[in-house]
Amino acid sequence: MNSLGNVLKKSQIFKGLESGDLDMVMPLFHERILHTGDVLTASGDSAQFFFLLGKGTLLLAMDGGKAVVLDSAGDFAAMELMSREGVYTTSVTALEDGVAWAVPREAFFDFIRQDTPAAAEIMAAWQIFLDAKAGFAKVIADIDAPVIS
Amino acid sequence: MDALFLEFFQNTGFYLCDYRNIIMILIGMIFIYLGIAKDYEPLLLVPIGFGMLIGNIPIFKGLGLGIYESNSVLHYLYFGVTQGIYPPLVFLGIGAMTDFSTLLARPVLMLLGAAAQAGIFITFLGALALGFAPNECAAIGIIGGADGPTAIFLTAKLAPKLIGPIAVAAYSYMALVPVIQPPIMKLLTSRKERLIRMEEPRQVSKREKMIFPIVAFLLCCFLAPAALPLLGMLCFGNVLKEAVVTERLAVTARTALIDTATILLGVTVGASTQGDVFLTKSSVGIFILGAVSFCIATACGVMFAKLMNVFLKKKINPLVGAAGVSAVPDSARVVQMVGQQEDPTNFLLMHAMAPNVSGVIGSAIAAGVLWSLMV
Amino acid sequence: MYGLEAINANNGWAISAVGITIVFSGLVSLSLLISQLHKAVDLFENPHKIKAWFAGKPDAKVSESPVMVLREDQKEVVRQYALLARTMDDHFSLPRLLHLARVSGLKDPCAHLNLLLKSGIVTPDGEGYFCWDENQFNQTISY
Repeated sequence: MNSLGNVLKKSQIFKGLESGDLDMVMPLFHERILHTGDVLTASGDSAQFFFLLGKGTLLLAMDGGKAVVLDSAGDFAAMELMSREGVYTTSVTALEDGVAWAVPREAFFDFIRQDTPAAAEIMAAWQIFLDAKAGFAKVIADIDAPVIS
Repeated sequence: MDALFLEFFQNTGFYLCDYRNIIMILIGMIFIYLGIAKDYEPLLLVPIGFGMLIGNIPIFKGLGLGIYESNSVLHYLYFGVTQGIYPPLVFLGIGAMTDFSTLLARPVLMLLGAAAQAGIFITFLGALALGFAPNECAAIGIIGGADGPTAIFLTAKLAPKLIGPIAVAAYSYMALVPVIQPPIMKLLTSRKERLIRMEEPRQVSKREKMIFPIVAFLLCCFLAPAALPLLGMLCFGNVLKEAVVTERLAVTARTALIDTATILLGVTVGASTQGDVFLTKSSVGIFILGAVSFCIATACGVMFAKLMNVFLKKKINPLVGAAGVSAVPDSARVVQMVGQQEDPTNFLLMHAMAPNVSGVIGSAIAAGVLWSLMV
Repeated sequence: MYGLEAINANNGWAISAVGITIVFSGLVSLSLLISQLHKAVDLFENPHKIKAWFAGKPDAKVSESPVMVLREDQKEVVRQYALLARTMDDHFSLPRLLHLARVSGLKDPCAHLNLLLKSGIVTPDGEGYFCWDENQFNQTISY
């Protein structure tokens, strides 16, 4: 089953959260059905959502020609992979039918800006995820969220 | 005080302006417009266009500002053109970005690149008939090679006075490939021929791609040593690309180096088109002969492809012959476009790249041959 | 001096004939040479083939990597993608490849790009660009 709960538990970014924290995060997400060829974001638009992949494949086309392919349940298209200073720098296209959960960017940032273990856990996990998936995109100066060490 | 104002006014462009400067400034603006708005070879037309603006600002001779004044900054930059320095640098970059695998996959298509060079020699004859000097004829003929750096290189060696008009003609026609070539291609081919599907090229190994530039360099330069500056750099650039271990050098060659050379080449060639030097009867002749040369080159490529089909079992689409002119990759794209107008599922781009890159080699050899025959 | 008189006086016919002959012979000999190049390289890369000649045994080649089974129509689009990929650098931009596929009118470009990724024909290089795996492509196409 690819329910949001299952996907969050599979996700490298969210799987370390306590169940109480997961309960707080889950209402932020809403389901989005993906059809092949759907364009979820366009570079240059105002960045409103990040996307947690449930099923399918997403192509993240970044400015300058680089790209990342997310194809595992729990992969998270967010932060510097997606936007800079409130503007999308990445166009996201669905390469096959599937499902994703969209989380409003501001709401997500509000959550991780809190001085809580959950926020620290997410940021630490995000750095590991980013190293593994797209180390080239890791530009600390461009992260528009606080870096929690 | 009035005298000072008058003296100042007499040194301004408004006072010194000549109608020929205005014409050239307008042409420069058209170049910039075509480059930016129509996306016709913007990397060439924009620097050349702006260079035309620079070169046609009326200036007081003797201040050391004009490109033809020996102590001016522009003159020093132009040195790279007159001495044939920039074209080999551009060729180095082209070599570092060219993939010869399509050529290696079907070497017979190389002949189309050779056939298209016939335009150079036919135009050479035409220019002779019109009364140009033999050296100038060779430089004019090379416009048909549709290879800007080669045209500039040969002209710098044989007829330096004509660099401006020949470079502008060569780059103009290269930019107009999508306009000039399709009518000729359609005129010379039947619909049935345009619908021919070519067999998929075989896979080419990395080792083949590595060996090719070395073999090509040795063979072609032993045959036509005068092609050494251009072919040497082209093949060296390709070696850097294919060797992998020299990727850093290849990246520099195909980005920073070629961009720098192109900027300097474009701006100085543009600046060399000063109205009083450029707008002459011979420039008009060069433009007409250049267009003829370009058309003949396209036609020769197409006709030769048709001729080859008489002997070949696996037919080739004659449109591919038009890519024998070395305007890379524009003429290959034109082949793809014209082919898809007849059959949207026919995919000719890859096949057209073979004669296209062989045209680059062919025009460099042709330039070398003409240079050695003229000196 | 103009016309044929000028051409004759400047030895124009001979120069043109010699010029085009040299260009042709250069490219023809290069073409002949490179048409045999792959055979020489193949023997160099597979010395066992030389032994096989003398032993008179056919060359057996077994694929080791898993291969995705594609339908014929999918293979056709994958071949078209291969042609496009060859116009690009070894390390190419995936969005650019998708763009080229779209403008070239390839069928279902997104779905087929996904096939290329799933089958391992297109693989990330870790720096944001992607590479085309010729071996995987050949195996997938011939499977």
